[in-house]
Amino acid sequence: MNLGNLITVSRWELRRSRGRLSAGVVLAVLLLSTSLLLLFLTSLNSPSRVVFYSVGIQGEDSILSGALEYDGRFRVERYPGDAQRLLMEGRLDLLIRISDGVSVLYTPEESSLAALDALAQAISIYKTLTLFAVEAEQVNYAFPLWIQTHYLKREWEFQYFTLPEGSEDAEDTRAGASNGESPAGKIAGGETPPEALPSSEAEKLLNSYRRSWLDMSGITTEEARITLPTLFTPPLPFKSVLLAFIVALPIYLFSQFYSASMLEERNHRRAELLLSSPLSAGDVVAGRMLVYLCLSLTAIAGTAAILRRRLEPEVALILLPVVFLFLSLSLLASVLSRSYRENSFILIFLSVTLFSFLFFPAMFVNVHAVSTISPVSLLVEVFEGGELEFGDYLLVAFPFFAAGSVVFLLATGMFADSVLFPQKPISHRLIYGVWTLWSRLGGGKPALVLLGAAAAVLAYLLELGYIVALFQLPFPLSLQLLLVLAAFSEEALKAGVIAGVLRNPLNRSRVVLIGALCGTGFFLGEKLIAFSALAKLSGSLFWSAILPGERIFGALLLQAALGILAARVLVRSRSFVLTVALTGSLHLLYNLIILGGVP
Amino acid sequence: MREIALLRKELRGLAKEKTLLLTVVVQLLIASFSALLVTGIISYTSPEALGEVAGEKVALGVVDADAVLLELLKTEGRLELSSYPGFQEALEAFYAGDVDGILVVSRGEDMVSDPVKIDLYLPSNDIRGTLVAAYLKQPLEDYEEVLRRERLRFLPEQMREVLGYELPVRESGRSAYFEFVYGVLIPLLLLAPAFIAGGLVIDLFTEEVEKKTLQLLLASPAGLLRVLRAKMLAALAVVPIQAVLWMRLLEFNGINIENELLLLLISMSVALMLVISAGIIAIAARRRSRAHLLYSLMLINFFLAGMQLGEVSPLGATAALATGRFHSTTPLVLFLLLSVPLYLLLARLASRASTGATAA
Repeated sequence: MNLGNLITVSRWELRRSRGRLSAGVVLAVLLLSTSLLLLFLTSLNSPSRVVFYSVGIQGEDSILSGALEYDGRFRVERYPGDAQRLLMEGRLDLLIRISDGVSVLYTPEESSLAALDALAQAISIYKTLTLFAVEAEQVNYAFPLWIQTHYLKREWEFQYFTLPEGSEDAEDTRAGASNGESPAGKIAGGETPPEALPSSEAEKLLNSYRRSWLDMSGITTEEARITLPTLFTPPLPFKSVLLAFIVALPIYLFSQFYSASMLEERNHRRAELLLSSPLSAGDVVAGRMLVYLCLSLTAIAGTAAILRRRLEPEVALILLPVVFLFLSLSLLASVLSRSYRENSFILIFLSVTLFSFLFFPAMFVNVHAVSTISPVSLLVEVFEGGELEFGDYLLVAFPFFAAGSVVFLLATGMFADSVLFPQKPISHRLIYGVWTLWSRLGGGKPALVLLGAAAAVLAYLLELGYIVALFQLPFPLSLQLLLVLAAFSEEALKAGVIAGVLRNPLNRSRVVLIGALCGTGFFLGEKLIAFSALAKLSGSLFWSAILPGERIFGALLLQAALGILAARVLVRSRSFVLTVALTGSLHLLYNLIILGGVP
Repeated sequence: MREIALLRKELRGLAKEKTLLLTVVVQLLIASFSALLVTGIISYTSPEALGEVAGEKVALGVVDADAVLLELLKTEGRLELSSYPGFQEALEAFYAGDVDGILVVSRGEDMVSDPVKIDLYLPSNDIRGTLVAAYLKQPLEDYEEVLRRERLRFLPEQMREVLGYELPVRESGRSAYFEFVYGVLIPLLLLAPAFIAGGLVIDLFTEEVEKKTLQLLLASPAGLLRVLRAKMLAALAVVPIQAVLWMRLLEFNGINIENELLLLLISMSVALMLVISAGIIAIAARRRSRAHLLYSLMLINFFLAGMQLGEVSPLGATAALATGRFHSTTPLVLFLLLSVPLYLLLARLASRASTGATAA
């Protein structure tokens, strides 16, 4: 790759995409995006308009009617005939009778119990809403209590899955923690004691709540740190996650553009010309990517600035590794797919998986260690008024950058092949990609070790994804599933590398060397990840299921032995599935023995 | 006959496409992640669900609380209370792991006219913090009531009346789960096949454009509208299969769905609207990337607008019909009626495009 060439290709792409966007399209895109933002802002602040419950009322009660009307989730029937029968048949969820007192009849059905809860909410919201109309000098009579939440970092504990007492790893973590900051040091450095809230301050706070509740202006979430008891909720940052989602949407749009642009090049048979020019495949691919990388980051920072009404460059920085991985994956999608349909399906699949992987953990910021896996958690923390710590950022971003680079290099290796032989099957193309990558890296022993390490990085990202998907399942089951998935994915990736190298028939006589080197590389990759101090999840059983523990020699031996076995079986049987089934089972068996059996 | 031949061609193409399976996997993924989200939401409002895994009780350190607040906190049986003379002592206990949260009360000088502030210190990244917060909600709301009652006489008459209003109901957090399942999960799953169908039409059409096979088709007696219609029908054919599959799966998971036939028709009518719109976009934009951009933006708009329109929107109609609180064919008729002008527009664009193409 050459910087000058890179910039040339980027300039072409920019010019081309400008020509592609006619005035009509630009106008349509702008209109649609504006209405999207407006609708988003409205929907954040308006009550539900979907009817979920039907309520029968017998009698008159202005406050109740007002509350139900404001809420909008209820359909109200006044004086229904034979109301009790309607309730029993499930056609009414609640029946409210107003004579001397108020009585609420309900059934044990799920919808009726939910309606009961919604009714209580409606009344409480109506009360708060009435109080919002209070005069300035009466604020402290209407809202006498304010709650401010502070978060303190305590010694790390992984809630569900801490290692059993006395186990080797558990003691390591504890010792490590007490060597660090001592509890006494924290207090000395510490928190200032809380102070009373001045009356004038309360008035200001109330005004900001009035605004954000009643109007659609301003989505700032920091002020929620001082709140009213009715609005006080356990710390799950729904609003910020939603905000982060909207901010991250351009990633999807631009990766689609990138993928389409690469595919078009191929379909229009221009890519052959490019490849025969002095430009390398790397220049062509990376130059394009640079354009979309910059556009995505600008769009992200822009959307965030509009929604948050302030410029926060750290938002783009946090999402940079995500954009890079996403673009690399869409490049892979474009070189793997043979038609537009295939490309669409692969892209949808990739983006749904990756978006769930990114956003689901972010729901658990402040709640669960799993949130530290995703960069979006950092974004949510920034939206919630926190500071971005560079150390945290590096830890979260590293696997994304590493995996992104591996995918990028692999896809670049396949580019020429995909241009010349567009109809070859996907398995062929993957093997070819590995082979090209290996030859590019020099085609020797160090290159093979490097590829093994790259496979470990990919395996690591996959396994983080598994943790995200599994961590809420009941405990032993989640761990068992993770063990199985991890063992087989690791072996599949390793076998992929070996299959790529064995593409050259001459290499087939050196299976022992190839298997051993690839296994060693994989082991080194795992160690590198472990040393990169992503220690936040360490001490959990999940962690020891995906990375080797202290038994360094055993792990090295295992990886090398399984590598050799994989190479041998691949040469003999020519069956990838059989190879992975065999080595994966052995790997699983070893892990089970190391962990001392599944609880 | 020509129509059927074209349709058969498209369907055969689709059946060969192994990647179609991927979309089914995608929908499964959405479903399973939604299921996880439901768990998240339940824990948001009713922490009992989390209590099972995290141990029932949590310890709370209290500083400067008055007798009334202490009494209210005691009514919440899952909080183990210990009082501390000062903030520093409580903080030490917090870092030593004796308590999982600290509650500090501070008052202004005037007992009546100054607000009371509660500072809550919770461990970050710890599920016990969530539990403490969740258990505290009701006692704190009650405490606010008590404080407000002391100050009630300073408020206007009409406000006092609303504040004094009592119903014999308590919040339980059950509505969040119910509304998520019927308001988000079911509409999303039943309409996702329709969204995908639109995207499929764009791909099928722009592929012919970019591979330059469209000219051949136009030269045949089929005509552009016929070709498009076959593609749209092929995309539509996949919708009901997926929708029925989802309804069965949801029911298998114990979620009761009412008005099934109507829901199926709704998802098909929405698919019809989207497929025609996708056809219009495809003709207008020609290039796949442009068409997909416009289509995705349109879809998001469609989604967000649906949240505002209630039962006449696809999302709202699906939600309301699925709960059985609403029986009406109005949305269905509306969507079908809306498809008519859309189709006419498509037909016009198609005839203009094909005469343009033959002239060229």
